[in-house]
Parts: sequence; structure tokens; C-alpha cells
Amino acid sequence: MSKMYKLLFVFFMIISSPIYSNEFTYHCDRDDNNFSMVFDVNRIEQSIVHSHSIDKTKGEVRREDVDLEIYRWDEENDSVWTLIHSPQTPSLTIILFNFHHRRLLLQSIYNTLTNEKFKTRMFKKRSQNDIIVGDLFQCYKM
Amino acid sequence: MLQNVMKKILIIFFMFISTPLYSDEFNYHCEEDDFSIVYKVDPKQKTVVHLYSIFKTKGEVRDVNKDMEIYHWDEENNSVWILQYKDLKFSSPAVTMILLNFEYQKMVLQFMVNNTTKSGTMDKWSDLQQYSLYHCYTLE
Repeated sequence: MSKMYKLLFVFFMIISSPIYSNEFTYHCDRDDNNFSMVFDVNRIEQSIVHSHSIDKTKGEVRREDVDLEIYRWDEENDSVWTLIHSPQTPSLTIILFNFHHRRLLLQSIYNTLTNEKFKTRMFKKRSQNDIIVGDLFQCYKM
Repeated sequence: MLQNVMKKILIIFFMFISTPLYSDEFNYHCEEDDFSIVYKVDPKQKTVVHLYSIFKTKGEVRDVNKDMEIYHWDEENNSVWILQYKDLKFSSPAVTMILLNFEYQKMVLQFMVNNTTKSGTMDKWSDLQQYSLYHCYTLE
């Protein structure tokens, strides 16, 4: 009888572990380890909320609470493609979450030529970094 | 007699308004080194069609004729944001983000690939992304 209880206990332990959970926190550290982002992921609702940004150089934690726009939820590859469009900047950012490899890839294009101050720089090869930003993050699930 | 004249005037009027001069459509030709892309842009319909890919070293012009997925038509900045998702059988899924800036006659293209192999790693940033800048001109 006690064996049965033990088995049940182990069973519940397994199904409540993060591997089997549909909701989890995904914490991602940028390669230089100076910046982190925290996300709340819900697989059933297929939603991702950017909850916090952490600037380690300033020792600053900022609450974000931003629902990410889901572009593709790729269940087969345990990955999600999301988008952030900022009309004010103006820019478009694509974020790839790969939960299997515990990675996050971020790429932005800034249409900065439309701002007067960037006009003089123009689109030159050497100034591409002004309009294109990319980062790789290492992540872990909680 | 009057009816005939009216008909002629109507025909001339319709011919006039259907000329490219009065159409908003234009071809947007973008070049990067030995490769070019030609798009047909219709600002009224808010559509962009990838017409041709041109491989200059091979001297090859490939018909593409593919409707692009418009993410945002930014009239204020005379620009268009385009997305392209590819998940082919024998390659990893990838997303291409394209910015067409008609005012400055430029195109920025960014490509991001997902490593879907279970054993592989995603540690080398240069293996996972690529970007290019194209210089463009408008053919009205």
C-alpha cells in the first residue's frame, strides 16, 4: 500500500515539474551578461508576456508587462517567433524563443533615416549598426 | 453624330486614366553587389509583388511573381515592412524581415534562422542571422 502512495507521489512530482508545465517563466541573459529579460510563457493560451527587464550595469529592474505579438507558434520545434512594432521609433523587432535550446534571438531594424538627425548618416555599409541591432541570449526555465 | 463624339471622348478619357502616368503602381529595383530584386509596388492596394530575382554573374533572371506578406504600410515614412516565413522540408524554419524605404531608395533585409536539430547548439550568432543593405531605384 505504501508503495502505491510512493508511486503516486512520484507521479505527481513528475507531472508538476516544469518539463510538463504549460506555464513557466523564461529568464534570458544577454551574451555580455549586462542585460536580462524575463518572460511569462503560457503554452495553452499561446501567449508570452515580457514581464521585466534587468539592467545589471545600473542595477535597475524595470517592470514591463508587455504582451508580445505572436507571429508563429512552432510547436513541432518548441519555438515561438514574436514581433514588436514601435511606430514612434520607428522600428520592427523579431524575437525567436527556442525553448529546446534555451536560447533567445533578437533582431531589430530601425527605420531611423526618417528622423532628421540620422539623415546625414545615410545608409552606408559602415553605419549599418545604426539601423540594425541583434543579440543572442542564453535562457533558463523556471 | 453627338453620340459618336461622346463615345470617342469617353474612350480617350478611359485610355488616359488607365495609363501608367495616372497609376500609383511602380517597379522598385533593388541591388546588392551581383544580386538584384525587382518588386511591383501598388500603394493604393497596399501590395508588393516580388517579380524577379536577378543573378548578374550567372546572367540569370528568375521569374518569382510572389505576393509579399505586408506587416505594416507606413505611409507617414513612405516605407513598408514585409515578413516572410519559410519552413521547408529539408531546411530549418527561418524568418526574413524586409524594410522598403521608398523615400531614401533603400531596402534592408534581415534573415533569422532557427536551429531545430535536437543535438545542435545555438551559440554562434553569425550562423543564425544575416543582413544586407540594398540600394534601390523606382521605375514609374
